[in-house]
Amino acid sequence: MKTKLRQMGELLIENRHAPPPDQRYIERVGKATGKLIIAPPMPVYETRTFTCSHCHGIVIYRPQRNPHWCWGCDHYICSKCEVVRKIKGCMPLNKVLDQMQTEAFRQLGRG
Amino acid sequence: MARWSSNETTYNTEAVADTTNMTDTKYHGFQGGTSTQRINVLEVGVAGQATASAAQIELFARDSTVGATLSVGRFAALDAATAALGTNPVTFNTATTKPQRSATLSLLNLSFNAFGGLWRWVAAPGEEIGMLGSTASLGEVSLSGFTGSATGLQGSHFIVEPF
Repeated sequence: MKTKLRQMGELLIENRHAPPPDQRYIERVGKATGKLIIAPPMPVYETRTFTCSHCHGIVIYRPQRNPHWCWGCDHYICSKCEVVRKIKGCMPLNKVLDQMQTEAFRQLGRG
Repeated sequence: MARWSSNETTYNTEAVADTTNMTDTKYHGFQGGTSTQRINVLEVGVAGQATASAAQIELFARDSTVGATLSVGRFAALDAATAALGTNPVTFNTATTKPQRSATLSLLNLSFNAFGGLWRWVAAPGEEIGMLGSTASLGEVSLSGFTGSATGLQGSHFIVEPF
């Protein structure tokens, strides 16, 4: 039986033999650059991740945050893609890649 | 399909902003072999080799400018019985036209201490990162240090599945 958990990848960050990067420094860099940077304060950090079906970005799975689910492709999607989905509908990246590959083959055939 | 490993055994990272030329030998680049080649990235792993604390802020991202005239690095099949590919994708860390990381298409964004630290991401089956062709922005990925990252010695590998 297919379950949502089947889509979960795994991320391990280990700093067991040395101190993890300074949290305040990482936060400062994150604020200055506008990026969300993951820097766990604990020596070993292991978590589930999911691959956004619409952009293939990797997202840390936090069930308490109710990650977005696309009923069109039956996959988790990231927050950015959820906004796009509401406007344009479901468009999985694998489908886009398939279409682009078909077009690339067609152009090779013409060339 | 068969799994292959793209790896860079040891290199010093550097802090480089998005859409800025990367410096040769300071990143791990991976580019598709042909315009129609599909590749899935199954795993990304990094192990620190620094001899002193070096906070790493690393991005595994698609490149908005792809490298040209590439140095061909290590790329090997995991299974001894794997048939050769028509055209191999290219592992590289030196290029005449330098790759530039996309400002929006970051796929993994992580920090660790290169002094004995490591990180590894593994995709669930069917949930891999997809690549297509050898042009921007879907045909090349790279692992590099982001703005604010210290210089740190490390090695990295990508496990991929070319079609």
